[in-house]
Amino acid sequence: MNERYCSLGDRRSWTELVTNYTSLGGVDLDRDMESLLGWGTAPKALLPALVHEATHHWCFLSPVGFVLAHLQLRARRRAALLRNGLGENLLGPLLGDVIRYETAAAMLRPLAEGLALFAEFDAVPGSGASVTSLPATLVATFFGDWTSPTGVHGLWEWSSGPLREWRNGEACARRKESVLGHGFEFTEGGYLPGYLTVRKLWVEAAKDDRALLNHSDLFLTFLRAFFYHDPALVDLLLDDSPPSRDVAEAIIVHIADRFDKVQQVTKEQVSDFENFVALEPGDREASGNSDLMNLFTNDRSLLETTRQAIDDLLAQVANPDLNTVEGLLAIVGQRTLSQRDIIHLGSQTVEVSVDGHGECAVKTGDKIVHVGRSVPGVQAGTASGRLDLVFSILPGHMARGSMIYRGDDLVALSINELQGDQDEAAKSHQRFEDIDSDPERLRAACEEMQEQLDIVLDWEPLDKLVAEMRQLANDMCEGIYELLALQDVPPDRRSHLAEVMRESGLMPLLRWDRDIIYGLVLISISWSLRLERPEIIQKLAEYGLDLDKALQAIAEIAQEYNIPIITDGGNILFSSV
Amino acid sequence: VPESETQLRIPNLTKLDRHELEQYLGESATFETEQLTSEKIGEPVTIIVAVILSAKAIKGISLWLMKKRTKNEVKLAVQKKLPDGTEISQELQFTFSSSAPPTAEVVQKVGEALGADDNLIAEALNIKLPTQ
Repeated sequence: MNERYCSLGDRRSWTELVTNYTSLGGVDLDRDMESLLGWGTAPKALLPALVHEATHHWCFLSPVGFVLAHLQLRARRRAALLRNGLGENLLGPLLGDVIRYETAAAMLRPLAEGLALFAEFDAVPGSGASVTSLPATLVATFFGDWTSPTGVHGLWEWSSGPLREWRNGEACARRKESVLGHGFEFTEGGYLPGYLTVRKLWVEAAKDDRALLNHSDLFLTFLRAFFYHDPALVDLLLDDSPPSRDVAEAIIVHIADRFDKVQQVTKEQVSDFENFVALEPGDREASGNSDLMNLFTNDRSLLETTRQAIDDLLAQVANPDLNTVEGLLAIVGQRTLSQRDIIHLGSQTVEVSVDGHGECAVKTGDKIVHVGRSVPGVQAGTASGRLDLVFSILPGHMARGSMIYRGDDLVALSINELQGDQDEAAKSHQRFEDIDSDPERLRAACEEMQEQLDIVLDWEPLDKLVAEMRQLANDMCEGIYELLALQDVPPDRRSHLAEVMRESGLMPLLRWDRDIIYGLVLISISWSLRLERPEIIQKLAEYGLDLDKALQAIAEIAQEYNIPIITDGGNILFSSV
Repeated sequence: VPESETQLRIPNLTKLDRHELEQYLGESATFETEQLTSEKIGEPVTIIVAVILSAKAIKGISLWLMKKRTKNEVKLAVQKKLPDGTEISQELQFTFSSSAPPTAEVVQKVGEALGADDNLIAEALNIKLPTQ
């Protein structure tokens, strides 16, 4: 099972579910180092990939993401023990971990891609928003205009500008064209079904609270929390009953039910969520309700059990029994889980020299890129190494860290904080100092252990059980997302339409006609740009298109397939895709 | 590819681009999609078109670019392999006289930018493609 979540149209940007390691393909530190260290100075071309991957990273840094990572890491450990004749009774528990991890990951995958695409194309922090999503916060941090004065709600102002600029450009329209042309499929990420589902859920939520159509960033934040901070799913994943089809079915039924429930969410529930998220961490503690999971269940007993289980896991992860082989193998998991908040912006190969006084100099070619103190205890010497540019998404950690490795050893680190923010600098320094292992080496160890797991899953008769489980998850995933994404299509036509869209998404429906396709793309984007009819007419004219002709052609298609596509509100237009 | 010919490769195409270029270039063009490996499952596929620089190719690419233009501009990333084996990557940008330029103007500019000689451009101007 592939665990990399990629940016659409960008083959080199991805996030791994287990390690939460993020790679941004467009970064070239030789060129971009200076701009990525600054505030609001990152290259604009990186915006869509950063937003997409940051959304994945944010989703996976959650109770559900943490437990999924734990299950897969434990399965790998168990496989390594079995392969070495040390896991006499581990086959059943290993299969249980695999069933739980793979079923939940498969069921949530299209949603994860849909959320990331929604963050790219649609999410806008509402005017004066008290809640800003992580992707929007990063847009403000990396692309916002930090020279302009802001009020108390600086973040939304700083994120709205760069998002608007990106969405107003041709690259965004082309990327959206690419999404609409992606197949209605589930084996290559489920981008289109996931995106259509998230947009449908947004419209449904706005029926009870019309403000959500404008506060789309709040909706994104809510939807992410609704699924990834779900205590009942955590409880199901941590259940240790023997592996069976029932285990997979329980997870599938739960997630399907969750999709039903999110469509019944009330304005008051979203408002409670917004008020809670807007609280400072200290105020949350004071209110006696410091955990987002509280908002998604009234079952106190479930909440206590789930919290306790996560606490036990954290304790277990923090203190592996180093007298056992399993304990030694668990160190890989421990280090992986402890680095899941780190976003990796880029790496470059460097030459690292440390002198006898502990001064470290880093060079690429003839250019010195860093001079500073080495970490204590580093021996003098020169060797090739690597510079990683990273930051943590934990609150108050937006400072960038340059991690300098000589060979495999961390020999120096430097922090670039916002000028004058000593508190952030200190927190970030502490955070990065705690990273005691080279992430490259750790990922290599993870991949090696995954190979062990893949070998064990090929053993007979395990291979047949695993194949059956994967087929079940895939079939159910298709059925559920088809129902969600194509909810407005009459039931007797739904499967036919999904089949028409299987290969090239909406392209056949839109007659492969560039004018119709771009008419729809631009109308859709116009909502997040807050464009009114005269501006939409002007926008389409830039592409040589006529709004009335585009609307007429789309209306004919809507009639032919019996699906609503555009809602014409006179001065404003809203597209369902 | 015959050694005496210049080969053009246009990368990063969408499915819509492919569909349109198939209409204009017909069998003279070949399309490649990057092979998926187990590690890369989930990554969107990139499409590349390869075509010999010919009158038909100039006309087809010109008509396709006319569809793709925004205002009176359009960009084209192209890789050329010359008869002597030299490979050149170019980022071309075309600015036309109006937002609805005459086909002849587009063909002329595209042909010149792709390095076609005057005879080939003249031939391209006179070709009528089935989908025109």
